Amino acid sequence: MFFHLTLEKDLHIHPKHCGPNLFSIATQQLHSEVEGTCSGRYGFIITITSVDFISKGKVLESSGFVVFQVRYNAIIFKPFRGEVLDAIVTKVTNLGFFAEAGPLSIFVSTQLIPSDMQFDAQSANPCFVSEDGSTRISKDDEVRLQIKGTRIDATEIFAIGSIREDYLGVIS
Amino acid sequence: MTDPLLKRAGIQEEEDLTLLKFPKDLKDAKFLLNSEVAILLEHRKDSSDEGTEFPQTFHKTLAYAEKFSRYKNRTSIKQVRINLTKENLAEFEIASLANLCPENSDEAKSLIPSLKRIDDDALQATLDELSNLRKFN
Amino acid sequence: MGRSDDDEEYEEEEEEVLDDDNEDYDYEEEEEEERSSKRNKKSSFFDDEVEVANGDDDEDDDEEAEDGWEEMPAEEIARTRDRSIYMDNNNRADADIKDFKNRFVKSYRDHDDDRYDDDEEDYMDDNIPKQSYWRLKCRLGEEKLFIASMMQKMFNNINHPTDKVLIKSIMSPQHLPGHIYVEAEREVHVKTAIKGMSQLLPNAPILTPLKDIIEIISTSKKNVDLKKGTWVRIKLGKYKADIGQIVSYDPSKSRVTVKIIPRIDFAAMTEDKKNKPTNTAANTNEDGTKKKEAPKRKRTRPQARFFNPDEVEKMGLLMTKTATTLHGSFYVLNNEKYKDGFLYKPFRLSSIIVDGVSPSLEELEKFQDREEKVGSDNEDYSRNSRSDASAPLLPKVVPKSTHFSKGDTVKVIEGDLKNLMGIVQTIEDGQVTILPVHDNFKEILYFKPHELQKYFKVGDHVKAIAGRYEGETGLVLRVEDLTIVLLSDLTMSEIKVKPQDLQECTEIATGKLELGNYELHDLVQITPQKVGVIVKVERDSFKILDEGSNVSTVKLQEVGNKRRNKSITTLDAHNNTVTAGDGVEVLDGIYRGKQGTILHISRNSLFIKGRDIYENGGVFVVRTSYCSLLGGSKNKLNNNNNSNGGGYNNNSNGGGRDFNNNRGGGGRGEFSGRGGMGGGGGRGRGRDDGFLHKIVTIKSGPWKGYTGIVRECTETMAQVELQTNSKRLNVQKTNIALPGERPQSQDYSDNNSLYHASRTPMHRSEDPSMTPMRRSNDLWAMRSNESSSSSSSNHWFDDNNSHDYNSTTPGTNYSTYSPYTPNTPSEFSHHHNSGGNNRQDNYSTPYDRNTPMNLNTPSNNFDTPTPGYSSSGYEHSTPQDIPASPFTPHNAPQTPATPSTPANEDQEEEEIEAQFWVGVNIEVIFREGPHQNKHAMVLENTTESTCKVELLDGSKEIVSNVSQNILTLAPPIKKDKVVVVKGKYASYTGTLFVLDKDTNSGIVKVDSNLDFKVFKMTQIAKLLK
Repeated sequence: MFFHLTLEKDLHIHPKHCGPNLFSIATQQLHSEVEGTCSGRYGFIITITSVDFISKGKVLESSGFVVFQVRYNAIIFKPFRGEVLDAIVTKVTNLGFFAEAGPLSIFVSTQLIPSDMQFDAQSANPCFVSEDGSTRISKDDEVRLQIKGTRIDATEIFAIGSIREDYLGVIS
Repeated sequence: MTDPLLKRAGIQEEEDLTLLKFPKDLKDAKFLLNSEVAILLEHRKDSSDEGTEFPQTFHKTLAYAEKFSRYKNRTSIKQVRINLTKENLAEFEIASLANLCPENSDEAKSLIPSLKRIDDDALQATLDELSNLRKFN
Repeated sequence: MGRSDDDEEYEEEEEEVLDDDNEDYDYEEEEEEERSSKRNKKSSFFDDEVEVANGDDDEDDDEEAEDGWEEMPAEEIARTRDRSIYMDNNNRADADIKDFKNRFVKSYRDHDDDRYDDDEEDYMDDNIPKQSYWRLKCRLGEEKLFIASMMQKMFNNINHPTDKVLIKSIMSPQHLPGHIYVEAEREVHVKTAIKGMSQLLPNAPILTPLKDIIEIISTSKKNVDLKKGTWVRIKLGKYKADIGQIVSYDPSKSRVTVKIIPRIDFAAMTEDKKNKPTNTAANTNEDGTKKKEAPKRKRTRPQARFFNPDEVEKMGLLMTKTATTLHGSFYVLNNEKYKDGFLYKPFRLSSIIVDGVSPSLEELEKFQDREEKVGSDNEDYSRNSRSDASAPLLPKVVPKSTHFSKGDTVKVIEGDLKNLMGIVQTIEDGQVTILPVHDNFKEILYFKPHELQKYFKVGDHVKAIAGRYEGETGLVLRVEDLTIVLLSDLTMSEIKVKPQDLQECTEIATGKLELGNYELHDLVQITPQKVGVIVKVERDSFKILDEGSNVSTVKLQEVGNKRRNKSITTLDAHNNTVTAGDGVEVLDGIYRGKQGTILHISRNSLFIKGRDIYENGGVFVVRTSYCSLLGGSKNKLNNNNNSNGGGYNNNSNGGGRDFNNNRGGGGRGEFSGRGGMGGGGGRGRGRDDGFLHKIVTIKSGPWKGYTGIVRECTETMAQVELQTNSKRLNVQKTNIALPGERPQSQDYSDNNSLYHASRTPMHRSEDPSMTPMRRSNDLWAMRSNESSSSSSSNHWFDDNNSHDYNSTTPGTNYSTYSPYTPNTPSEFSHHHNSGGNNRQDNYSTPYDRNTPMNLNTPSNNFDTPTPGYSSSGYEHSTPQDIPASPFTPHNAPQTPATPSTPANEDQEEEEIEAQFWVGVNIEVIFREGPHQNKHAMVLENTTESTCKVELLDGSKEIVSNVSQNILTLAPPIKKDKVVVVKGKYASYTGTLFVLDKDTNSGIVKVDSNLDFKVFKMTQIAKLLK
């Protein structure tokens, strides 16, 4: 789920930037340091929408760097356990399939695929097919899945999903 | 699925969607519809200087948000928000409903367990409104 | 119960009963509770009966209620004893008991009526029992005998006025061998009672506090914990170490029925069938052949397989089907019962292991699989087994309490509160307290560990804390009864783990990085034809990805050599040279579009580590032709390299050529981009690789002077294939030189002072050979009173050693020259300064050194610093020496001595000096004796110190037994054929090339390898013929 959140950060600016463009450089630096990162605590920081506040800078004695406290708003994506979302299948293997929802990779194991859907090894592009052949999951399909669990470390979030529940599966 | 019995004991911050409980860090979070994200990201992309490089996640997210954006213009998004807010729904529910667009109340409750507290008929009415907004905007 | 008053009366009453039957007595005892009697023969059957009796008798109940506090222990005692002794009694007819019961109940009632009133008062007054327990010790193993004797004694003396046994009860806990506890009111009673009992040790009875008794009794309870479904292992016999599960337990018989996977020896059975056609067995058909139990004498152990009735039928073995009320229907074959494929076999308690048995996952699965199969295939059986719900086929695994830790979510799996969830609060010895997760239920509860099971749900992030996958983390994909399926973080593969081996966690395992000599991502040989990359390190094995993209598990022991091929390069799809560490993009195949860093190159395959690949820890294999070097900015590549960690830094960049490019233009920016292994290492390698596939000369060692082709190099070593015999030698790189390149200049121009500094020890070790030599020269010179000055001998040496002028430095370190030691540093500094300079400097060095020598050793004649000597020395030597590498060959003779330690060398040289020579056909001169000054030829070395010679004066006279002491070796002159007569080169022949009278040494061109070696003149002799 996407959300908008206000975050804070200490920004270290090289002394060479202390000049007329300091703030624009600081903003730029903030963007490049923050956007595209992922923290286990908040989630994927997709983009900064606005910078609210930049504190007065403080020069670090040891390095000469200037530290600014900044507060900014960002669009963040974080998967929640139990959340249902739509994703796009990126890869199908005999163990299950991978799907992506924006920046998030989700693995849906065969254990969490309805048991009547079997991996079809014969098919040219690997897919899961239901017994009656009416539904199949292959690469680039859109699926609706539920997040079952997340593995979160400092820089990455990985999730496992399920399509075993009602109303989940391929979106027709 | 989330069994309320099994909240982890202090090991991890609790999040429990059935109770609309989120980690403390996110208590000020404002949940966004995919459509909103798409618009915001698009805007961000357009307004930035030529040649600005965006990280890969940005592009992925933009593509994703656009693909699953249910409402294509701002007025309908606004309308959706107005409609849903008056139903006394939580932000998360609003966003989920708008993103997932369940067709009937049963589906909605299955996908978003916290909606169980809402009366079926009321929920169905809301869902119908949403579907109309999608059709006519 | 305060029965003291009644006692006599009581006993008398008992008598009536007891006269008839021992068991009566027991019975009564039990009834009366407080007398947990010494006769241990109670059975649970009796207990039951007693209850019935009690039910009939209200009064009795009342009394019991009053006595309740004591009831427990007493019963306990009775039970304990039951088990041990019941068997004996077991066979006594039930009829007796019934008979007895009727009578007893009657008598008891009578008695009870009498005593009730008195008793009550008494009892109320004093809640504390008047009885105490005394501990006795008896001989090990005779406890039961003793108790039986006591009982007998009691019966015998029941009417005896004085010897009447007045103790109340007696017991011997099974877990305390040698200890007997007697309950009595007074010690005197005990003493009287045990008088004359031979089994006792002569210790006085010791009073034991009641609380100890409770403990003693209750400990025994632990042993009784044999519930259905408990896992056991069989100790002995055919099923030794097999896992089984308790189906039922008969405490009275100390027997358990265990469900086990049968090992049926059909072969033996069919044979039996032929041999002995008929047999009568209670439950089997008349045909004994049918019996599946393999005779124990069979040497091979039958395989554990599930019993299949159809199969048995086919084999013509007879079996019957019987039904029992308790466990449903069985197949009976050879007197053994089979059901659902399992064998139900009774075992003695002593022949099974109960404690700490936990089945492996495989064993569990076997049991479980069977269950499922039975359920689906065999309606008949399954129904039976369902009805037999008392023995759950899905056993509970008894987890050790240590498996729980605070905060674990657990589920109650046994008892009234089954399925209650809770969170572990504390874990103590055998007790786990949990806080239930329940809306109306917030009290802390206590459970035994086996009543709880860890609970995980799909999506939990967990870590394996035991078992095969210990240390791995993953997300729970599925929860089954006995296993949990995880998606491993490390490999993105599914693994099965037992719940008790798991724990919730948030961290993510990186996995082990090394095992044995191997590390993650090493390229190793799997089979002679196959190589692969280690993609995962497990507890004692590796997952290895081979060139065919197959992943196999290989045990540590089976892994072949590591392949170090970092210098290998290959061409990508666009004919760019790629090497390990480069970043590439995959252009085709299933990994199309992926990017990664090359870990290894093997033939046509690239092992690539990609970031967005999930399988195999991100490692995958592609053909080189499917890859393209990530273009343009090489710096990016270097970043990749760095991010890969030092292990994969590739310094070689395809060898010398590349290296030069790098150094020249910095074109690839490789070295600037690298930390650690950067410049220096790279440079060294660059130079080193210069040797590869070149013809080189070995500069030192036994193979000095040989030429060969460098086949392989490492940073310090080179493998040289000799041209003469194709032998491959491993040589220090510093010991080889390119031809046409003076070894000195090679060394000195390539290596600056730093190199020298680091090499110093080497020089020392290389050179000592000379030092002793010089020393010995000196000695020799002095001893022989030759006129040559030691200074000149030094010069000689210095000249010879010019390429290794340091050699003299260590020389000065030898004890004799210790005064010079202080000079060493200055000399070094000199070298440092001269590093990279010409040899002139080097020459000067020894001369410098001579100066202090002069000063310090005035006794020697140093007045000629004599550069001229050296030059004259060279003038003497053949001209060819000089332009080529004149000094190298000169050094040769010393060098071979290098490997040995200097000290030894020293000694050896001295020894040589003292030794006698050995050799024939050499010319000698008589120093004294009748043939003084005559020349002679040695014909034979008769002993170590004597020889037979033939005079060369024309007389051809042969003189035997000539002592070497009166002989002198005839000094050879230039171009004479000579033979080495002493030292390690003894019997080498050659031509004397240069004769240096000053040092009394000669340079010999050795015949065998045309090498030049320096020998002292004392070591060589002129060879005749």
